[in-house]
This record gives sequence, C-alpha cells and structure tokens, in this order.
Amino acid sequence: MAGVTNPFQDSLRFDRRVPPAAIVIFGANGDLTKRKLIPSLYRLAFERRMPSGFVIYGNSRTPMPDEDFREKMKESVRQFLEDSPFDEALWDEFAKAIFYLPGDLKDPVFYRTLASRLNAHEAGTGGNILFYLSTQPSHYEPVVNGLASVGLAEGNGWRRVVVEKPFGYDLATARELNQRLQAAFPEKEIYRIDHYLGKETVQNILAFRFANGIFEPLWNRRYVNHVQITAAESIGVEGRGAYYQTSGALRDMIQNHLLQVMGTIAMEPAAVFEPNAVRDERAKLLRSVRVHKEEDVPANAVAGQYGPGRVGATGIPGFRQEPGVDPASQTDTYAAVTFFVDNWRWAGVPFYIRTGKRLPKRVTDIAIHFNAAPLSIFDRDNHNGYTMRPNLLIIRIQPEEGISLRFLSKNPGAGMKLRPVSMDFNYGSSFGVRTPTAYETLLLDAMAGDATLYTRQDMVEASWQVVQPILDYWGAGKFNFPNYDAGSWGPRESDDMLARRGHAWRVP
Amino acid sequence: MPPKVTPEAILKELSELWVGLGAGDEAGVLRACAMTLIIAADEEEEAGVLGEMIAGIMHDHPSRAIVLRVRDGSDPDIESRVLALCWMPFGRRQQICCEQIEIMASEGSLQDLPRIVLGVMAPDLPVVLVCRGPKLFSLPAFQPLLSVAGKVIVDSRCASEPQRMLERIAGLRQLGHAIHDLAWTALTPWREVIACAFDDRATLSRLHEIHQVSITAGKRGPGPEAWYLGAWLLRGLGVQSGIEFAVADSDDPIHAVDLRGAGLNLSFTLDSRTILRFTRGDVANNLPFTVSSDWDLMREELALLGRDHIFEEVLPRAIALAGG
Repeated sequence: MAGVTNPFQDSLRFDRRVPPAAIVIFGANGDLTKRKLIPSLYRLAFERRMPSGFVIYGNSRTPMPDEDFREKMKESVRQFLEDSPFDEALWDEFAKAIFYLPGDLKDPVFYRTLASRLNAHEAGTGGNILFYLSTQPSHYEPVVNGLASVGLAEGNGWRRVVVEKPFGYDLATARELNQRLQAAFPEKEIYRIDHYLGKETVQNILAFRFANGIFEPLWNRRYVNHVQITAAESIGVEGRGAYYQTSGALRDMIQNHLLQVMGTIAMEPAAVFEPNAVRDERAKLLRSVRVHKEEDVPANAVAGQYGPGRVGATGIPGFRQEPGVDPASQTDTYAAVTFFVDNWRWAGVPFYIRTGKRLPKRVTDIAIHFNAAPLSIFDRDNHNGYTMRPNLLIIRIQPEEGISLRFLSKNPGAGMKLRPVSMDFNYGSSFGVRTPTAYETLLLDAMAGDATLYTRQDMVEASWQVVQPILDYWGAGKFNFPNYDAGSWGPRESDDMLARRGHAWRVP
Repeated sequence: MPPKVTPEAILKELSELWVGLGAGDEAGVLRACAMTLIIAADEEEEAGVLGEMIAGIMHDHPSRAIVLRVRDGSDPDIESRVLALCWMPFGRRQQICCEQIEIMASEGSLQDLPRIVLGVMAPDLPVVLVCRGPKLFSLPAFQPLLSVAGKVIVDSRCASEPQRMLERIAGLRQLGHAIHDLAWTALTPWREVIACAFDDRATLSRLHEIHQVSITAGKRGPGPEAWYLGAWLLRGLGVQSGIEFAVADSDDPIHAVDLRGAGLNLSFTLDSRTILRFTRGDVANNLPFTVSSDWDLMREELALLGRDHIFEEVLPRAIALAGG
C-alpha cells in the first residue's frame, strides 16, 4: 500500500486531517489538562478535526470512575474554552471517547493495564498512540520506561511522546533527560512542546519573512541596528511561588520560549517548509548565538526581583512576600540579556531580550530597530529630535497580534516638521476568524506527525548552552534584591545595559 | 447632463464618512479592507437578509463591499449611498469598520454601472464578484466586471434551470473566468467526511472493489449538490459512470451516501443537522457535522483566492450526470 494516496483528499478545502489515535494524558488531574489540553481537544472535535475512532485516556493517582472524570472535564471545558460556544450534544459524543485510568506511575501493573486497555481500542485507533506527559519532570523517566517495559513505545501504529518544559534544569540535566527519553523513544517520536512556537503570530513570522520579498534584503547587519524582544507579565507568581523560586525568569522564559522566538526571527530561510528543514535552520541559529564568557556576563545580563508595590489603592506583595517563597530568595523574576549571533548576517547586531513579572502590562513583542537615515536633511526645521528616529518594525505576539511599521511623516501645514507615524496591520481585524490556540495547533501537529513547531534535542541543548554561563555566574553571587518595584519596567541596570551601546528599551 | 452618480462623488462621500467616524469616537476607528467585494443582487432580494450576510462576512473578510441592486425598468437614474459597518471586537476599545457602497440601478441604466464600479474599487486588492441573482451574470453589462474579478461566485442552487446554470458556468470557465459555485462549496463537509473514511489504509486498499454508489437526495430530488457529489465520487473511484440517485423525505439536499463493494459497505447518513452517522460494515459512529449557512459558504469561498482544480475536473462530469 505504500505510495497509494487517498483520491478523495482535497488539500485546498479540507482541514488537515489526522489519523485515528489514542491520546494518553499523564497528569490528567493537573491544571494543564483542565485549562488547555481537554478544552483544545474538545475544540478540535467542535471543528470536526478530531479523527473518528479517537480515544482519550487520562491518568493520575486519584481513583475515580470514568463518569466522574468526564464530568470534571466537562466543567473545565465550560470554564476554559476560549472564544467558543459549548455544545452540549457535541460534548456528549466527545465524552464517550474519554476514559480514566488511575495508577501509580512507578507501578508496573498500571502499565500492563494501560496496554491492555489501549489494545482493546486498536481497531479504532489503528494502534496510533500519543502519550502526553503533563506531569512533573521527575516522572518523565518512570513513565517512558514503564511504557517501554510493556511494549507501548512501539507497536502497530506510531507511538509519540509529548513532553512539557522544563527540559532539564541546566545543560547537564537537559542532556541527561534527553538520554533517558531516547532510551525508550526515538528522537523523531519525541515532541518537546514550547507553546510559544504554536502561537499564530510566531508562525506568522515565518510567513512574514519568507513569503514577502521586500523585507529579506533589509534583514541583516547592514540595515538592522538592533533587535528588542520583550515578554512582560503584569501578574506575579500567582500561587506558584514555590515552583517559581526553583526556576526564575531566565530559565522559565528566556532559555526556551524567547530564544526560540529569537531563532525564528533571525534564522536563515529553510530550503523547503518541512519539519526538519525548518528546525535545522532554527537549531543552526541557536548554535550561532555567542556563549558569553564569565567576565562578559555582568555587562550583558541583568537579573531583577520585584519588591512590594501598589496598584491604585491595592498593595502588591513583593516576590519574597509571596506564599511559599523564601524571604531571602535570590530568584530572578526579571531577566534581561544581550545576545549576539556570530554569523555573517547578524555579526555585531545586539539582540536584547527581557522578560519579567509584575511589569506594567502584559505584552510580548519583537521590535526590529533599523539604522537611521545616514543624513538628516530636515534638521533645520525640526527641534523635536524626531528627524533621526529610526524606522521600527514591531511584531506583536500578544495581546493584539499584528505588525506595525513606524516611519517619519511630515506634519500637515507649512514648513517641514516631521513626526513618527505608525502603519498597522492587525491580525484580528484582517482575519476575523478565530485563531486556534497554541495547544490546538500543537496537539494537531503532534497527531499529524508534524514536528515543525516542536523543539528538538539539539535546539534545547544549544539554548541551554547560551544561558548556562549566566546561570553559573548568577548562582555564584548574591544579589541585592529586590531591585525593581512592582509595576515598573524593571531594574535600572537593565536600562544601563542598553545605554552602554547607545540604545534604550522602547516602551511597548 | 453628466450623471449624478460618479466614482469621484462616491469616493468623496466615503472620505467624509471616515472623517466623521474618526471624529465621533475618542479611540478612533480601525479601517479594515482586504479586498473589494462586489455583490450583485436582484431588487427582490430582501435588504435585511443581504445586509446580515454582508455584516457576517465582514468580520472574517473585511472588505470594501460594493452592493449592486438591479431593479426592473428603464429608468436611467442610478442612485448610491455609502455606509460603514462597524463592530467592537470582544475586549477591545477600538471599533473595526468596513465600508459599503450601495448602488441602485435599473436594467435601463446598467450600461453606466461598470464605469462607476471600476472607479470605486479598492486599488491593489483582490476583487471578488458575487452574483446573488442567477440572471445577473448573464447580462452584458456585467462582462467588464467579470473580467476584473479574480473570482466570481454564483449559486446554482437558486437557479430555476440548474443544469443550464452549470453549463453556463462551464462556458465562462472556458473563457478564463474563475467562477465558483456555492453548491460545490456546500459539499465540503460531506466530501471531507467521505475522504476521512479512506484515510484508513485497509479501507483505501479496497477502494477498487466499490461497484455501487448511491446518493440519496432530499425531497426536492437530485440537484446541483447531488450532481457535483456524484461527479466527485466518480472522479475518486476512477470510473466514468455508476451513480444511482434516490430520494428521501428530507429537507436536506443530500440525505445519505452509500458505497458498496464485495466486502466493503460504507454508509453516511445525516441524522440531524449536527450529527452524521457513519457505518463501516457493522460498526457505526456518530460524527459531528455542520450544514453550512450561506454565510459559512461565502466565508469558505472568500478564503480561497486561487484555482480549484478539483472543481474544474468535476464540473463537466456533473453536467453529464445532470443530463442523466
């Protein structure tokens, strides 16, 4: 049958379909399952994108009959479904495919039971199974070993495993984790999820760069002065203080999400739009990021931690006052790093990345600062300093996805007075249709075997490679935290880091 | 005497409309336009229904909508008006607005219409022409509009003589016009669910065993949808004939499809407007199904601005089936 294609396929009009499969979620009692996974799967069913014959198995330690689990999931879907109506009749059909299997992840009996239950569905699923590890990373190894021990890591259909970050705690543990996963599943069947890459606007960066001819000639060191990537959150740690203090902003955001975004912004075009071709280019870029020497870290990386503040009349606790957080915590709730890409395209262009909690607003964007015009001929009539303002291309990832180009324009009236204006493309207004959530996109991709938006072992290790010296340096010292107020744009040292190169953070 | 309605006058009115909209709202409004959407409708078509459909489309495909309403008679006057369609997206503070130009003409003044329409189209953007009334796109005055439109959308389901309508579509396609039929668009959910059954390798391997194909139409009998679906099934099976049409007491244009072979029986039956029962041998599954509204169909068509090769291949076979 190899090579025989479905003659009824219509790639122009049909949504990409996925083969029938079983989806097994480990950690099914957790927040991710309730907030993202089940609502996303339901939404895919709503859009008729789930294959017929699919089944979903949830696992956690808590004993519970199928019916109770379905009821819990129904409530979650009602609560967390994004921009979609809830359809009772559809849920009833969808819920028939949901099952629950309690069990201890270290108990071999559990895996034998799971194997026998999944085998019973094989006529409908074709033996295809997607294992989703929505558990603590410490459970990854027992789960993949348990699956392999009963033959679930291979079989009649495909077997894939999706793992959530963190992919290790540092470079050494990331390598160790990769070895353990690869002992049970081949690398091509390991899907490391980074939900940032599933965001529609991040994918649109590829379309913007590689489907349009006018930007690519400017996309290099000759025209780009520097790049700023900002991922700001207005909220604090929201009850996750105990977890967060083992992680921090650099590990939690920059090592994974933001370096992947930077990789997408700066990578070379792939020869073809295929998973490994795209991932090869992104990986190559990450390997080109300069690894800071120990003595260069202070000038190129800034850590911050928020102290108490006020929003209106409401007092906001500092990080150290959050529940579960060590009162002397040295965890970074803010991190800003200057990266350089040592290749011909980007040599000498700083990529500034910052992220933090309790900043003034929730915003994620990328700003490409172009070089200013070489000579301003309008200076005589302009006293407002605008004439030398460089062009700015802003790619907004959230909350209002879109692209803006800032350029100078003449003020109406006599004289030649200039001021910056913005040309906006708003994703939401140009494509009024609901955009799929990152998890809908990524789950569908995993079932379809499309790993383009998933990170690969070499990408994970390359990004750990560049943050490791910063982690080491920060870990060896002691910060005078807190060093920024809740509601501000971060510590002064972060501004100084850019000022040394004559740059300043833009206010998003 | 120069005509009262000129492109310049309409564009000036449009410009004033935008100035007024911007002044009236503290946050300003976002002017959105991704294409020129020309919608030609008979005067009988209810304005409310048409307006509702356009408003629905605008959310997905913000456009400069040019609505042409053609009335009977030889009155030489053409009238026009401009209006904005605005909505406030959930959780945002700025309205998104699209523009609509309505032009009312009689059959006697149609010769002036193309000049006006060509003058008010949004520059450098795709042009889509939607002919709501089947007779409209036969009128000579529409020929210049057919030529500038990158896509023309018609609906053979509304035609009094659907077989002739299909022949007309085929004729215009041969002249190079990119004409699409909403009767074909309406089949996407059916085609998708049938295609999905053949994603299963075991079923696909027995495709050649299928020797009997039956399409059960609704009580109005087989129409464009049934012909297109039959033609598409023949194309997929790689045969030239062998479709049986039956009729059921149903309001839906297609009620069921059965594919039978030596050891392979696939049956697709619409249980309700949201559930389709799919039977493979003895195993039955209920699948979610959507019967598309006119607005859904337009939304699907407007999202596809390229050629539809499958439709082009299916059209002549559908005409043959329509001819019995």
